[in-house]
Amino acid sequence: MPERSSTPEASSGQNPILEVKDLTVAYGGVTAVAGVSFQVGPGELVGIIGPNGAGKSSTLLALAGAVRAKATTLTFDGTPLLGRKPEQIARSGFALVPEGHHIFGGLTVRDNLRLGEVARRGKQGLEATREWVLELFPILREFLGRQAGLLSGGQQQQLAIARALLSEPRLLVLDEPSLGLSPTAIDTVFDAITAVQRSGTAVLLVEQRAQQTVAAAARTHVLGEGRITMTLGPADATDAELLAKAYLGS
Amino acid sequence: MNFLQALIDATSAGAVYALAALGIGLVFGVLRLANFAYGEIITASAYTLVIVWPMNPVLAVLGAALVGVAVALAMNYAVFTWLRSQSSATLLIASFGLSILLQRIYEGVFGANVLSASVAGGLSTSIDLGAVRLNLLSVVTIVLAVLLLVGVQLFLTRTSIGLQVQAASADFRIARLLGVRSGLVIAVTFAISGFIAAAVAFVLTVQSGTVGPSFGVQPTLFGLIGAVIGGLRNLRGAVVGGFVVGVALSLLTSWLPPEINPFRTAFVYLLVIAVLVLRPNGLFSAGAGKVRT
Repeated sequence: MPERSSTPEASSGQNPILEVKDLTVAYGGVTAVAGVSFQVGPGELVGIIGPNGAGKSSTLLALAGAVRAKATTLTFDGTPLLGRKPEQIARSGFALVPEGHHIFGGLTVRDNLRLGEVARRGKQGLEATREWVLELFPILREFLGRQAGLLSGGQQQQLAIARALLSEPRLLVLDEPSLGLSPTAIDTVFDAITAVQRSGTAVLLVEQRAQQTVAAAARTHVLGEGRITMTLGPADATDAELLAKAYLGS
Repeated sequence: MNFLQALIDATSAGAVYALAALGIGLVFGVLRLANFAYGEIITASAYTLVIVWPMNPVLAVLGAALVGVAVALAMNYAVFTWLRSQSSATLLIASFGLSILLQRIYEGVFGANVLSASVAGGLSTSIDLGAVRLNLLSVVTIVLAVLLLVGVQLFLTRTSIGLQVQAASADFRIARLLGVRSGLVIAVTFAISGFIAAAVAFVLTVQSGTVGPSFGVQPTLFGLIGAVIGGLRNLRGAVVGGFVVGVALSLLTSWLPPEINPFRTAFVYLLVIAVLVLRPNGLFSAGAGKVRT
């Protein structure tokens, strides 16, 4: 049970685009996620923070169909996600940028971006999306013909997000996009995430950078040992004591 | 001039094994399957050529290609689709079993003895160019291999599905998260490898004019060896490895003294051992790959 909830559970008056109730993920006998419930409304930015091993990545992989999971309810845009293949989920407008970039280093930046277009429902509006994505990450335009593996860590993260955006998702899910990046690169990534949310795309952001995430998100769930232990609102971003408690527990 | 002739013959032999390595390497890329049953796809196409050629050469070539693709797809859907989430070792053993099973089926259907027919007999002639005698089949083999290699390269780099095959080969899990349809990519890869197997069958059937139940075993073994020394995870490396094995076999056949010539394959295996001791992941290894899930 959440110890604190500064904001409503979901945006009022609209059906959630993502609804998660009692999500459980176990690897063999080890439970990684133990009954997590949350919602993401259309166009909302929702954060999940927590220490290493809290179950953040497992939660996202379960949503994306990459690991087996159980849940009372797990729907994206009203459609059940359980039992669907990762590629089916990706093609339904759900884009996951997994932890660690995972760009295709042997391919060019252009080809990586082309792969992002695989999950699109059609080519309508493709040129406009390409242009928007390259405006969001102008450095990629310069390096379109370059082998992606030669980009810096920050540039690779930008490429991973750009690739996901080219599928024109209704929900962009990011797993620790700031991991291992320089402060400047982190700012670039966070600016882009905010811009994506402002464009109307819902964002589910998993992060270790608590202050920045809590400030940007409509609400941020704190995950610890596979459970949501607390839910914070933007006003809590300046409460250092609360953020520390969120991570370290009482 | 003997040297030039030997070089052309060696290039031709290298081209055959480069093709076999390409067919094997493509499937390994997406499925992490070193498919020992690849030889039985070659054999199926070879039987088609030997049986149908005397009736209608065009139909024989088309049929061989069709049979190669069909057998490869049937293998995928009947066996490997069910084992996709298993380890590479499980897939390898399954392919061994499938190989033996198909050889016994061929034996039951076509008999244990070889079937013979003159397939594209015209290609067995030689052209005199000064002091050099060019075997027409060698030239056709080299041209065919180049066309197929370029074709596969264009497919992989210029088409959306080819790009998806490349992505799946690099990291299947991430490719699926991007919406790449795993079943389609694997099926397309098997189909292309089946088509390439038919090309290998054509060259070998023209060379030998015979086909038996274990016809495809040797080219598959050498293609696989070539792919391993080149680097199974690197398609270009696999092709170069296959080429090197073919060239080495051909040159050893030409140059080794008669008394030790029968042991030429042993020298090739020595080469393989030396390469794997020095470069365990192959000459052109691209590092550890990601397994499919």
